Amino acid sequence: MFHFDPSCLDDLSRRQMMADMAKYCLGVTVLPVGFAAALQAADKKDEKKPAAAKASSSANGSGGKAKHLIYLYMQGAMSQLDTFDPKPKSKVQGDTKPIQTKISGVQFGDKLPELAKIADKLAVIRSMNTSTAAHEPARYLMSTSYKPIATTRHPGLGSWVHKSLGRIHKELPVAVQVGGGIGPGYLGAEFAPVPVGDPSLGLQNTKSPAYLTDSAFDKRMDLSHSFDSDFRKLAKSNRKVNGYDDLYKDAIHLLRSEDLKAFDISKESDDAKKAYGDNRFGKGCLLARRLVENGVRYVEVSLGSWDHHVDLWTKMGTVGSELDKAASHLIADLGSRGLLKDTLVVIGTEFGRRPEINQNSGRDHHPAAYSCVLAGGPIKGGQVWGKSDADAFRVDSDGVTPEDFNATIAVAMGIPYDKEIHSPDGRPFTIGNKGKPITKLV
Amino acid sequence: MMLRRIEPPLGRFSSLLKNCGMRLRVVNGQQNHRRMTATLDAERRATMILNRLSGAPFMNRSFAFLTAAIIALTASLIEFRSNSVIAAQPRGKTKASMKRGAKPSAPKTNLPTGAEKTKVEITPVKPELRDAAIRSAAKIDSLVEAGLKKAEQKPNEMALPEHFVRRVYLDLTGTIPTSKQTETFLANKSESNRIVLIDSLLNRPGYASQMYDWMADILRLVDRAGNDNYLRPYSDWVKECLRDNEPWDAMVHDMLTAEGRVWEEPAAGFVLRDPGMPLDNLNNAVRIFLGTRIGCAQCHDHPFDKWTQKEFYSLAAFTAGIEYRPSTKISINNKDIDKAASKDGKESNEARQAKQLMRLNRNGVSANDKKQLKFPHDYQYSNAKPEQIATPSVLWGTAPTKINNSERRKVFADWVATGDNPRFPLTMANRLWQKIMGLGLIEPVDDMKDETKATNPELMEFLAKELVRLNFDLKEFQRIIYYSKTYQRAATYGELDPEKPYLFPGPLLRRMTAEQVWDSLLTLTMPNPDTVVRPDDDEYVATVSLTEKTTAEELLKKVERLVDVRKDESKEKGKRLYKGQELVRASELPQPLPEGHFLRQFGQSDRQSIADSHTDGTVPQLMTMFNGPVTHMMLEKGSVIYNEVMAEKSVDTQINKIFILVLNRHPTAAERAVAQKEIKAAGPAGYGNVIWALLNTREFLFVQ
Repeated sequence: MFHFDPSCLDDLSRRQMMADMAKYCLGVTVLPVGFAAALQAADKKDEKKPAAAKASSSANGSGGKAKHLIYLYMQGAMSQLDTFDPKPKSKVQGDTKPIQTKISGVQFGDKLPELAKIADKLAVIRSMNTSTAAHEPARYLMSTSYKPIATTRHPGLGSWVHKSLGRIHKELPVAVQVGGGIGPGYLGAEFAPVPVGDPSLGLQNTKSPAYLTDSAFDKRMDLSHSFDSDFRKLAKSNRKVNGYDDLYKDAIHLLRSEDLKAFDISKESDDAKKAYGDNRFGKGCLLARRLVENGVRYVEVSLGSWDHHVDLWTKMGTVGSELDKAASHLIADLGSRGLLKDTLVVIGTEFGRRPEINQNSGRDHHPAAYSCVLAGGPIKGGQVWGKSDADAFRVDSDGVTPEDFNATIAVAMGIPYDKEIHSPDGRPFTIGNKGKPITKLV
Repeated sequence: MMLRRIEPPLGRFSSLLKNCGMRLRVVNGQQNHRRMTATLDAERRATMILNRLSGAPFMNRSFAFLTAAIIALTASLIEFRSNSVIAAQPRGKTKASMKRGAKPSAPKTNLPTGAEKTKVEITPVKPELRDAAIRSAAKIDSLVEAGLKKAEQKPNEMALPEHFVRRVYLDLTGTIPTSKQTETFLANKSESNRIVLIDSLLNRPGYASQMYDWMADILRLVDRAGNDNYLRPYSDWVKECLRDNEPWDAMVHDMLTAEGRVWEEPAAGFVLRDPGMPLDNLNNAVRIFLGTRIGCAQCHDHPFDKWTQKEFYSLAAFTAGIEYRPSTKISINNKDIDKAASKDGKESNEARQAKQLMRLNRNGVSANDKKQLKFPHDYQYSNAKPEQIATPSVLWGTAPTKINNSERRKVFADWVATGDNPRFPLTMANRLWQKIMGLGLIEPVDDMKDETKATNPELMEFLAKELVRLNFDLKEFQRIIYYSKTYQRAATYGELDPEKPYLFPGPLLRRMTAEQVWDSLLTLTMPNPDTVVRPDDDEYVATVSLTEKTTAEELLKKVERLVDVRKDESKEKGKRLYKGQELVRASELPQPLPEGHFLRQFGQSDRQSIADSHTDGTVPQLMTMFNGPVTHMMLEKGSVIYNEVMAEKSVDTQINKIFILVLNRHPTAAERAVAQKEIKAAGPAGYGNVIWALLNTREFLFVQ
């Protein structure tokens, strides 16, 4: 019998071990050898390597894939009719006027003039459809490819990217969420995206009190070491105790990292700030660009709320314009810095809005048809995928589920979309949960 | 918010106090199942004085109120002054002395001091059971030692007193001991001092607080599971059961059978935690209460265990009648609301909120005796047909077979929550052993199979039997483990040998849980944090709950009232804030906490998965430790550690105090010298440096 007591390991090793055990019991290979080795390298050794040496670990042998992902999340369900899928001939179009985009015959809502101008860089999906019209489960599905169940917690896209591609910069976090998002689920704390609340304030708890200079800090650490020496002798073979040494080193490196300024958008010119828009989302996008530039793998920026049950067209004025300005400038800015080819930009939302206008000049929840956008990296811009019907109520052709959407993102990032990883209890999962990638877009 | 319960004279008195900017909190033990009593003695004293004064012929009633209030207030402030730590500080001034003409300067502190204080009542251990507990503890030791002997291993030495006192306070009350508690124990050389301490800790409010943290992680307790699914009464009920030491079998039976809205029957929260997901909820129940995983069998025969999909469906048939709405309906509907509150066909804000209250009231548990469970349409095995109705049947043992549909949940609960179901006591005994010793006798604790063997089977069997003998009294059961030498031995520090089972020569060295770190920092900051509990939600519940008779107009009044309730809540919360952080014990904070919170950084769960908390280190965790508001709070003037250290007369005794406070031990000669040198070199800043350095030792973070 297998005499290995998993409980004697720390949680992370236990997770890994359970996955191994599941592999063993099921007689299946969790990952192809090369990929697993790449993962281990990313998890363990890569952290200590200088940044330049690691860029290649992302490629997974397939060229032309994006190294970074900026996910602009439209929280609260963005109206398809008023953004990327207007229906000028329909009775339900409401006050949003369609405008011509750079793609011939393709129109956007009039709150998105700047995005319309760069539509040649965008792949617009108009045939998104999902299975629930409740915000939380739908957002969860959008980010994890799985429906929430009470018995496990699935990792969000940021943690998948972290787990699959590893780090680029040796000190900066791998994944950052500006304004929340889905956590690491069964992958555990190591793969948790680092939260940023207010993009103007940057990373939490990185500002030391003014009196605490580096040398004063070092002195405190020395003091701490000398007070800790008796205990450390007793616990000298305890991995968890010793593990903290590396974490202290990493934390101090991060605090002193030159590149911590990546989190400081005050270093940007006023023009740059103005170009992105003087609002939380604009600042978040500016921060995203800085982070990607400095080697952060995944940045998610949330904009909300789009939950426009009431007075949609009044509110569209603000939220639509914020999206338009920040997203269009982000893509242009990444382009002019030569980063767009390595950076996949996603505009996603949990579901769409019901075409029929309600009594409060708003639109209610609608999972049957909505729109999302991909740009950058290997995405072939200037095209529309899928079609909704005359009122943007149902999908007419080439329907795309959140699972398909995530499989497409995986392909663009060079992550094998059908490769299984196992949760600690041995259940197999993939990044796209059996979704099929839209190959024509990548 | 508690004013409505106060009897008339007191009610008027409290409005008087309210006008003076003060608030009263009186929790009536009989009316309120939460059973707390007020500690703000002022108001009791005032009532007494008032009664006496108003009896005097020369007093009219309102003059009596005023006089009583002043006398009571002055008295209580004088008392506060003489009791408080600030009294030890010559610069501390109170309002009472202001009245006597001293200079108006309140004690300067940025820490919150105005939070309401509450005395939490907790069911004590039974003194007469001590001898029996000692005997059972000895039995544990003999079984552990026999196991060790068989494997030619030796138990660890007994833990040093300073290690023991720190560990037992953390394990039993969730926090490191105060300096006084540490010094008292270390000075007590009597033979029974450990047992006496254990009993006294089992009787402290901290016992329920830490048990709640533990159980909240397993039961995934949240204030809300979705916008319209309010669940806080369920968490509060769990906490209350732990304070009252409700037997575990009774708690589980309640959770599996309760019907109603959560504020009517809080145990219904167990089912409402997984709204619309009866099969997942069943799977969770079996995993939590019976330590068995049948989840895979929900969709196909279990790949690693023997459970078939048919067995899963047969078990699920017991809970097939569950409906996620209460049996008592509300009579108003959305149209009534629109008629009463919306104008020009446009839904008003009030109407929208009113509808949300209605949705809140539509959540509850009821049993539909007609509802039955069918096998899935694509059922693939030959032992049942697709869409065939599943007949209730248990996984092992027996349960009555010919039952009415109305009895299904009760029969299921009877089968689960009893000493006759071998895995029920086994699971809880093993979970508690894991909690106390750092590792289960069976691991994982919730994936038992027929062939599962405990690392010490005789001990496992004994513990399960003890839990049954004690009628699932969790406190008495834990008492015997804490009494054992096995618990009281030195911790095992090293990595375990993966080739060999761990036979418990002592408990394992562990990192503090997130809650232990937080509560310990609180102990270093504020005196008696146990007295600041989460304000109850009675006013909120009274406002949002609707009955069959509630009219649309009444509902709209409630919507209006809710604004005030929320205002009161946030005002009360303001009194507990320090740099945006509520300074209350982990068990008294909102559930779950946002991801950036200190507790989450240190591994508290987001309450989505069962027992998902962790004690891993992370980089953001250390940044919180370096630069977060929480670690700086204890360096504020007026904090416990600040006051206690400043009250010492010499650098030597100050250093001693710092070590006692943070690590609960005296410094070694070498450490004393290092600290002295630091303080000599850096001056006053040296104290801060030494404290900071100690908080950042692994010795602080790990429990020996």
